[in-house]
Amino acid sequence: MPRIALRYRALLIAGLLGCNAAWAADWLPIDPQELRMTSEPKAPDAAAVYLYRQVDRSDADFDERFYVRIKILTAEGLSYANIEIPFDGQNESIRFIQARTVRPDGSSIDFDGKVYEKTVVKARNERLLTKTFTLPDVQVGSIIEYRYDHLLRRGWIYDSHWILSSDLYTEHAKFSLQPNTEFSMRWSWPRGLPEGTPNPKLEHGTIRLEAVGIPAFVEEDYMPPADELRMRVDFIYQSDHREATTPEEYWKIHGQSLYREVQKFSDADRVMKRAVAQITAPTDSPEEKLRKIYARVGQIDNLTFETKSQQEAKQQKPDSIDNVGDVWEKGYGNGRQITWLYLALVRAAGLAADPVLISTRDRYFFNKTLMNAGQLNSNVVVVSIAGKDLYLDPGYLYTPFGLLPWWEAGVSGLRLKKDGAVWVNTPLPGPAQSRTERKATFKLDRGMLTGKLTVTYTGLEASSRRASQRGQDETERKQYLENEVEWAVPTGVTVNLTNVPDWDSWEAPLVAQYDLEVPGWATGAGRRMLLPVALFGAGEKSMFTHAARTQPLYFANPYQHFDDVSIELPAGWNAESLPQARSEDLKRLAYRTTLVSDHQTLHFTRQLDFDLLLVNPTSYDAVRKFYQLVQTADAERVVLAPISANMVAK
Amino acid sequence: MLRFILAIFVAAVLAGTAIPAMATTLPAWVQSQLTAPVPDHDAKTAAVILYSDTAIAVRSNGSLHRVVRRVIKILRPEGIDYGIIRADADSQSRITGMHGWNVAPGAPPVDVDEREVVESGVLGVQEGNLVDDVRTKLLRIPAVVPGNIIAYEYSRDLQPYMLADDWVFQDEIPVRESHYSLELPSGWSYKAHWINHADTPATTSGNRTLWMLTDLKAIRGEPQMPPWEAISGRLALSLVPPGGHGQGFDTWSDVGAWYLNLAKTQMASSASIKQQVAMLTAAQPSLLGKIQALANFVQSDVRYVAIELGIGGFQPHAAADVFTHRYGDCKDKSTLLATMLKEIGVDANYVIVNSERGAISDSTPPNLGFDHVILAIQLPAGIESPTLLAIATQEKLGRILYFDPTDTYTPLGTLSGPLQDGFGLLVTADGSKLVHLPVMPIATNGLRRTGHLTLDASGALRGDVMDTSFGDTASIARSAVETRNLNTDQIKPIESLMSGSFPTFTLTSATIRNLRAHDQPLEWHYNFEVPRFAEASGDLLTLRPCVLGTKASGLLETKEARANDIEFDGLQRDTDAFEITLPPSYAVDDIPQPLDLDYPFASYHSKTEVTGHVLRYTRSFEIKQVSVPVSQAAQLKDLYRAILNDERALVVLHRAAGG
Repeated sequence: MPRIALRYRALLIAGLLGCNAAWAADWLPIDPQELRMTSEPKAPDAAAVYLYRQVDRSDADFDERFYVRIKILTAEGLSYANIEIPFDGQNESIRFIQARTVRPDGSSIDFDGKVYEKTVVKARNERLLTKTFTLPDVQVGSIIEYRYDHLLRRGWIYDSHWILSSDLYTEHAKFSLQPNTEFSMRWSWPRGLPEGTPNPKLEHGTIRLEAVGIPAFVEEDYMPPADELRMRVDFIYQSDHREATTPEEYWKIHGQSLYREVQKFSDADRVMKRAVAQITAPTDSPEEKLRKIYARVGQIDNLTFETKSQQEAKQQKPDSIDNVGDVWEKGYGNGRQITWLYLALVRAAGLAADPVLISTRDRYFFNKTLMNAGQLNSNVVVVSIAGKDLYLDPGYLYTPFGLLPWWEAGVSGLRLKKDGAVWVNTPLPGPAQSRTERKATFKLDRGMLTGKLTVTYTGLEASSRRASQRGQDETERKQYLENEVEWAVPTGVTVNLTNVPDWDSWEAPLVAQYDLEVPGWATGAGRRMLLPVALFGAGEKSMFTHAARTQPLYFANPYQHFDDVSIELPAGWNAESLPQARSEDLKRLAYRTTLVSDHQTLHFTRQLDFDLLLVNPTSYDAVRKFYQLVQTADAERVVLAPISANMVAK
Repeated sequence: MLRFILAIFVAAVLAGTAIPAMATTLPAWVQSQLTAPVPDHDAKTAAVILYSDTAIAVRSNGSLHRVVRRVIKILRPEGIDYGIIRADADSQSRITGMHGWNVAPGAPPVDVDEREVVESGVLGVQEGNLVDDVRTKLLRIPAVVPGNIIAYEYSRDLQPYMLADDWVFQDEIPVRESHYSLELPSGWSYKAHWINHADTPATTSGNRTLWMLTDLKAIRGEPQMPPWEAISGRLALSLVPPGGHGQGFDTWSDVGAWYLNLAKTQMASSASIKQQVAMLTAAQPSLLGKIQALANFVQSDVRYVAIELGIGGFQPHAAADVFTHRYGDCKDKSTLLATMLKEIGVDANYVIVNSERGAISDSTPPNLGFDHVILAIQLPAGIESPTLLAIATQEKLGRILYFDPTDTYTPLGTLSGPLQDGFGLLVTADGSKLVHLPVMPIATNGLRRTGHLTLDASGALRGDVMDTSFGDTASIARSAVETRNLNTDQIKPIESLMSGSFPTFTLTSATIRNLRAHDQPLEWHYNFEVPRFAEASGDLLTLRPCVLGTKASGLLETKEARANDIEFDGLQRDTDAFEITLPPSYAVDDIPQPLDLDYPFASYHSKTEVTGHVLRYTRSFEIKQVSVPVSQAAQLKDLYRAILNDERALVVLHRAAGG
């Protein structure tokens, strides 16, 4: 069950400290080579590069100073001369903006234009503004330079970070942070530092880092969350004064306090016992009890999945929930609260269950050595049954019993126990547990396939679709399912959903039935026709088209696609030749096809097992080759010929 | 990226704020609609407008007070977005009140007022739109769910540059009843002009005039449809103060005069402009060369930055400032170029246009519905060149060349597709007039692809292809390369093209020519190998003679019948020629039939021929009209299907005896 992690914690500090001074008048000297440069060999064809950037933050003086120097290398890079600086207009300000353009001949023109302040959003308690300006006489080859002070909210300190990986290559960067001495602070660089960069050092009350040659950050399809890959240095203030020097100590302290918080919220024993008596029968086995409670908890109105308007329409007030008893009696709660309700009910049923706080892998990958409890942003329940641990999260709608949504599967979690927290790993289901089965029977006539298609989604394939269509009406859901078929077939189709699928179930497969026409699927070739074997291969066709890869590959969850297609051939035609069956098994990726011809009918099966999560870029080529093989095999054709011509040919 | 984050931020503020809605009594105009019948609609209709009322009160000082009221029935979850009221304001207008109501079946109505308004400004700094003064006020009506009836009212004070108003009475959803009323001070009058709708009489009571329409059909969005202004019904009103003339525009000439009055003072030259003109033109022996040098300078060396505050939305900045800063928007760039041209004795006039073809037509009444400025360069006698195509002859100005100094991809001589065949206002001192912008010849836009390839007996295909693109086709290809920040990304357009045609391929080389020489065709030359391009089945080998690329489109493969004309950017001619040397051990068994399709709006011709062991496939595809009437949509759909079949058609080879 995901929830928004607190991005920063604000700690009120008594008193107002310090004041800011404007920048010194002089700009840093420019190397003549930088004036002459027309490209950066380490970033060929880059539109622009950072020649220099500097960020100096003081949490004692509540300000942050920026200095930026950019070399414009192509016409596309000219857009970097338009500057916008967003800030919280309610509590912050931007001061002392200075800027200039340096021409390739070394002459410069100072910015003396207007800095525009624009309201981006203004609401009752919100005011987001930007300072905007543009530099004059900027040409390809120019260097632009600007600096400003960002005055932070006085009296408050925040966790912060230095983002090293930018959208542009950086020649040289300097960062410093003067922590507020009222609180202890930890800092870390979870994604490493640019090659050859010394670690950040605390000297004379200031942490400093200097780096050269920081590569531009590249965004690609199927990559891990960007925050996971960007090189950065994170600074986290301790929320209390107890300093933990090791991860073990840190998590021991936090494990205890988190356990107490969960216990407090889950403490409604009498209400829970009454509820369990309504849900289960004394004769139920432990698993039956777990399933019945799971199903019942799933009926609680889950506010995480409802819009503000829906909550208002039902007059549901999220702030009125204090504990699991409130969730049960009011009949609503957010996903996190519903998961803790499940914990309390399972315990009330006499079963051993523990709360587990986990870090979802949709935004970053958890690293316990960073000692950041804020990263434990979701919760599940672990139940020990028949000697096995079962991880459950009814707080995420439609997740079948025994599975977890993909971002909670295969992650680390802190199992909270009275006698101390322990680290656990949630299980990752195999491909067969999240399956899409497409079964079709067609007739072929004048090149067009006409027939019936049944698509059955199970496991996470079913739950994710149900969740995405939560709150939609039948018109929207029909369109959604029909679009899925259109996208799966690599040519235009006419598709019509003919049944009303069960959108409400958590456990049953999601079954969609269609009438389907595929015009022009068989192609004429003189007196023959050629019929591609794989009808549902469009999804694989567009994967990994590019040869170069910078980032790792990352996927949500393992899955399996299974297609079973029968095609009745037109009278007087039969298959002159059939492609061979395929079987390619790379362990984590497998592809198998069968194709048989029985008089007037072709029968084709295709199974794709996908069991990848994170793939190093060095293995990209192997994955790409596998998919090229799949695409090649999918494109293979059956040669059909009129029976008389076939006889002649034979 | 910042814009994306801000969009999320606005949405979060709107969606996340609990609104203290209060039970209330409904105004009579809402109450009366609660039992109104729902107009005809289909299953996809998200909501219907039961009642719409726009009331304009004109004050004697020329300011306007506008009150907008709507009552909407929410039919589907998709329709709850109608519960967010949006009202825009700028330097000429301010929102003076917003109020919303929600009526759920069987529940007391609730309301929300302007205290809950969220104000938002749009950013576009990375696209060069640095700042403007448009502000949007958003008010979320709470607890909106399907089945509810919502209502809202907002009022706006305006001090417009032009005494006019538009009643746009059609919407994306059906409208049951729509009212528009105009209240004029004593002595004022109006002129009404109906667009895309039959003239409809008004009723008058005192100084108030009322129009009413019922059962208005929805206009649903479709890809490649004409702009909204070209198809939606609306009533354009000119407001005439006592004496018959004021801020209103009776004629297009009035609009031009107003614009020229704003701009004429901005064209003053400066010493540095003169110096730059002299430097740029010194080496050019011909006048055309000098014009080209200046045009190229303004297109390439003056970057696009729009600062549109107050009258700055219409009035260009001074040419000298634009030159000094080396930035400006379309009207600034046009002003600077006109000023520079003047220095070499060439006159140029503004042409103010709407960049969506059809938004302004020759039947549109005078208004300020423009969003772009280009130039009409008066060509002195003797300037002749086959590259000068965007030419027209005007009675007073003689031969003029239309030129867009903002469009960095389209060189002097032509116009980009979206501007072609539209109407612009040619601004002159002695009578501005609406002019029809020329359509560029078909040969100036398109892609010529030639391939020389060899197939071996295993079915592998290897060889090279040259893509030569012209006109807008080249502009799109250039943009696809130039917007990539990494050299490894520049090859991706070719990889994407190939992956659409081959499951497996190896791109062995790819080079590009004339990337930044925008007056030259863009050339991509690439070399590749495709294993198993031809498929073996026993003694047969089958291959697709249309090796690479597609001209087919799924545009019209929709369940619903097409409702609107189909718009193309411009005329276009694409040709392909692939020569494939076949393996000597195979002979040709079957080849696809030639295809010759000719329609008034497009044509397609393809042919497969065999000469010895060389297979030659050629085709041409022409878009002959920039707009295809909806009545011919079925023919266009048939054409696309036929093209798709042709692209998939196969040649069958059989193993020759002894092969």
